[in-house]
Amino acid sequence: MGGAASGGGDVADATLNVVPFIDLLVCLICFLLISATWTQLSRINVDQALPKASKTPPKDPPKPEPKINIAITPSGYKVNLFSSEAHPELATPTVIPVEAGDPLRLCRGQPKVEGCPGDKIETFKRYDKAKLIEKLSEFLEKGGIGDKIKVMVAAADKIEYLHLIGTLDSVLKACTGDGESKVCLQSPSVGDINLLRASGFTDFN
Amino acid sequence: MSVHTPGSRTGSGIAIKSIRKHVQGGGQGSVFATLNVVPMIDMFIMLVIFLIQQMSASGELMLVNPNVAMPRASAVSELERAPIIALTKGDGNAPGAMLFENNVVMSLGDVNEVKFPSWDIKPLADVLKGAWKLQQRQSDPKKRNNRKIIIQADRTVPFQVIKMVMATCGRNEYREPNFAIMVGKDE
Repeated sequence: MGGAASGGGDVADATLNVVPFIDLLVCLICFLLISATWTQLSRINVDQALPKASKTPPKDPPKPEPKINIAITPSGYKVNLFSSEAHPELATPTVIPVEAGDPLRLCRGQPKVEGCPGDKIETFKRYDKAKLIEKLSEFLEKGGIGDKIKVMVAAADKIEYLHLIGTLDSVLKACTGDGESKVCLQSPSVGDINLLRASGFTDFN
Repeated sequence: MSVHTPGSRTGSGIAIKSIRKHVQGGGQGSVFATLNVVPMIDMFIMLVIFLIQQMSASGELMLVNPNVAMPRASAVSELERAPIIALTKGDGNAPGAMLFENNVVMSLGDVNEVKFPSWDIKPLADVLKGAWKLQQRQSDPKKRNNRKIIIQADRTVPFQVIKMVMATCGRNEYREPNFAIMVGKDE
């Protein structure tokens, strides 16, 4: 692959020696494949919902705005749309029960359950996230203030972190409208379940 | 350009007539057929570009504790550098541990409302105060005032521990909790 017509003084159809270039590319590909980080880590941004420190109520309390509340209880989700003037009936929590049937089985240390050693299998309840997204989208629409609507997620003490993340993921997927008018729920607040007692919830069983 | 005596031609030194014919390209298939490497180079360049695009710095930003199986989620934001609190799963009957920047702070068995009724986990609070003090020495005001904290918890950790850790972080300047997750289809 060197100079093809090297007999004369001037070479008219010289060929570029691409071998070093190919070598470089092969080395680069090998390096990138070895150093690549295949497990992609990310984050879910949340706000913290802490009990108010002030015991004296403000003189002119602001007009309450519609707010979506989600309680993750051992029996399923409990969701309501609180302080909505147009839909006061939605303040009564709607129950989305845990799915019946086989529990969710996950393997520790590998993505698939097939071929997982028995002691590495973990079982979890199946929360109905599809129904939750559907309900949240409905509340987002009925709330009437677009993505300014606040969302509060709270869980019972025994609820595993997996379900909290699954719920937050569902909240961020709840949207309404199409195209340019599409509105989605924004970063939710996470707090203690007892904070929801002031928002129409009575029991968390 | 001056006229000079032609030199030897390719294959002229080969004795056997038929081989010479082949080498000189007189036969049906020439031995000196050129391999077209241009498509291969194109493919290599595409592959290099793709791999560079796929390279993520998030693996460098956060080390995943081997005892933490993080849940998966798809609606996520890009990871940023912030102090990390890892909540691990225990081995067998032993409870998990709480780590701050890979240093063990305490056992998760001790994190409960009986020991810390106000949800202020003292060992964690002390560590956070120290980290905030160190952070104040940074020259960049953006880094100095960064209130983000990454909570990297195992999927089996109960919410009781998470809420107490969040409350402790909030009371000690780190008011913007971020939950670390693995990108993928949610479980």
